[in-house]
Amino acid sequence: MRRAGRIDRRIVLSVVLGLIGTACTIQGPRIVLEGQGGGEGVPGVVQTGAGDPGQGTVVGGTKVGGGSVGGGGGGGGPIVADDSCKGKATDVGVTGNSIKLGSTFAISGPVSNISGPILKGVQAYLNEINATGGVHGRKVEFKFYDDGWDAQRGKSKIKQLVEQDKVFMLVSVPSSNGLDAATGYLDQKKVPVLGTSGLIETQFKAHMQWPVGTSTRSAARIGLIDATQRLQAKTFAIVWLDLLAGYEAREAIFEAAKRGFQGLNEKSIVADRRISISEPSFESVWNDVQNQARKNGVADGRPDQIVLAIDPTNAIKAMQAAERLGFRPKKGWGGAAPLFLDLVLRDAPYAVKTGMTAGTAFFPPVGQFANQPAVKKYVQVVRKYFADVDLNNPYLQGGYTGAALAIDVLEKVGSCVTRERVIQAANSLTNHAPAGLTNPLTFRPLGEGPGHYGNTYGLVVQAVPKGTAGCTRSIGCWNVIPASSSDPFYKDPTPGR
Amino acid sequence: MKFYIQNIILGLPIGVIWALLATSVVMIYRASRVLNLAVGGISMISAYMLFQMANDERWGIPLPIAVVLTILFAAAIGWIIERILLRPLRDRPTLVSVIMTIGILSLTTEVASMVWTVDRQPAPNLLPTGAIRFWGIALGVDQILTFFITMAIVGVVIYLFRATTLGVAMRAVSDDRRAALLMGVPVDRVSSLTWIIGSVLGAIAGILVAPQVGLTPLGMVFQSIPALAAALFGGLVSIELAFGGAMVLGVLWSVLPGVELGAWRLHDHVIGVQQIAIFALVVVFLVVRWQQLFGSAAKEEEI
Repeated sequence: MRRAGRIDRRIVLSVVLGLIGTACTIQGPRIVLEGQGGGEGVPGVVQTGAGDPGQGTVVGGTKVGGGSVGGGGGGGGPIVADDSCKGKATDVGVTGNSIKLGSTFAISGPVSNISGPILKGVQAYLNEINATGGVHGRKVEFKFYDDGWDAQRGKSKIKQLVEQDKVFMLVSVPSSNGLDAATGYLDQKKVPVLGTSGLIETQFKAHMQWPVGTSTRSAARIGLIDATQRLQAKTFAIVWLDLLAGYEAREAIFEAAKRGFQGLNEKSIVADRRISISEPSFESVWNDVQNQARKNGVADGRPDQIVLAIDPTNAIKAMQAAERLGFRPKKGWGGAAPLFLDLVLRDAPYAVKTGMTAGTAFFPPVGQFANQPAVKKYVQVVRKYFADVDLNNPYLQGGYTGAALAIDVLEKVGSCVTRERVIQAANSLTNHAPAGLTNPLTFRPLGEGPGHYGNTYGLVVQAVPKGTAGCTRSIGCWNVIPASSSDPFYKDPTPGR
Repeated sequence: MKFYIQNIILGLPIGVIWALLATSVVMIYRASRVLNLAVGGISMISAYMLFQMANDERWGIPLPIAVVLTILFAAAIGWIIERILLRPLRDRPTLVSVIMTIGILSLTTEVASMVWTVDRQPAPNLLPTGAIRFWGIALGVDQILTFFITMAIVGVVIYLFRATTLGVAMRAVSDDRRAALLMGVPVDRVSSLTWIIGSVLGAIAGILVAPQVGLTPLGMVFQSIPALAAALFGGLVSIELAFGGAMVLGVLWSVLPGVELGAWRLHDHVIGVQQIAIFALVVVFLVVRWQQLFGSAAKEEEI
């Protein structure tokens, strides 16, 4: 009995060690910050497909007004809409009355809360397209899987979409771990992926991926432009999440300082602190940041700006700990896009009190943008399908805009839809604003002009308390800072040379 | 030096979070020989239940009543786990029960995601939220109180095992169920009580810690991993050593990123230094054998 007990304990110890080891592998900059939650049904649509949690097919019945499709040109060559194939099957996944699109989402897993709304954005847009007649008379069928943010599972699900489900092309694919792993496969098969988030740099360098968002590197530099020009910030600390997007933001800021971007230099970064997705407390993080800042010449331990390249849950904890300590940067907190949420205003009043900024690549229903017809349309469409979402959320807007890019390209191709024609059309988009929610995007084949860096633009928003600029909400509001800009070094990780 | 001492102090509230969860793990393992990997799930789902009941936009039940109901809910969860899920597996290898707890963890996480979404929810805070600032650092009043509550819980659990009839019965059942049965110990009832108490401990951990770490489906689950490591320091049977282990891990988590060896900063050169340290420390501890380090005290605990 005693021996049996020992054996049991050994087994138990092995299991625990395995778990801890697995937990260790969750950390590290090789992991990609993206993912998707959701999987719930969408009102007014038919959901089919069974067996796999989070899997569904959306068939419903329209068309959402978007930006105008620009002219052709460029290395991809202009594409002329061909309407001679109405009612005919033209390629894999395209029948006379339907077109099958696919995607993978990290509905489960460690970052499901960060990018959860992307699925809702995609679903809202595609359902509205179906509700207004589809694309050239074809209804959109949308098939998606949860890959749990696991690279190999994601790659396998993408293969399944292509080979078994026979989707025509992929849309959004916010589960970028899997997308990254499947890049070579998609290039080889020439399956286009339209409207990715752009959160990681590899998406801009893949032949078959057309990101709709601004790259993390560019977003970081746009934040620096705001901090140096508007706030006159000269010293910075960066607190970054130990995932790939956090790492890219950190790298962009370091490279910018190294190359003299906006008058910065290597001594401008006075503190650099990595955090884990499961960071239990921020008291010691702030102590470390202050200690580093003092050692690097900031006598009071308070840099001009602290850049938070982290997720919302950690940001809220960070703000709460800073408030307890009475700690704040001299000129402001600079948050990443995931922090542009009502959740942050609600749970981190200190962010409102201290005027935290965040970024987005899309036109939010805030300030001067709120009355733009395209933004009003976005609000109306999303509200129609999802009543309780945070409409400012850049991920929700990214999903919606990504789906819009995919549909706009299909529209441009005409009824004779083939992958080859879609690729050609995507690579020749010029000054086109999908759903009207971005600055005009231009894509060209890799190696020509902007390549796949379609979006280089960013807005900076700031948390303001009730009573400021017409804000009537008790939790505060986000205001758009007028002087927003695009990144002149969008292709270059080492600007200023 | 001041910086390191500050960070040692700031590591204690982190250790307390893990100690609370580790206490639940050890409690159940010691009495049932089942490693409860679902501890994070039970804590999390209990914290969500309190949120559901106490939040004004949800059920709006007064907080004290909601806390009592949450404790009862956790007790019911513990009873269900033991009576319905684990008891039928009693004659199977223990590993089967351990795998069942993984299933429970997965189930609770999915249920929480479906019911309350994956977004962070505002967890009700039972403790005052002010701060005490001293010597250039600040500790939350809630963190300090959680520390003392954890100490009290550890004391109660130790007392339970050492000085109560129930504790003796729990140990008897875990050592040899058949012999305990022959001696007239109500084995089934003791097993149920073990899981009920263990789940209530997990719920208390969840209720106290959720406002600090954030109420999300995975938040508590993430915290349960270092807690399991802490439980290993106690060989899964010693609550005192698990508590001490959790404190050591908390301090390491806080201190390590700031460690500098000349111009060489650990944070800049070792990716995931804290996770690696936890893993390495547990491995070293097991290799050296904790029994040899802590000798008779640990042996007494085991018997």
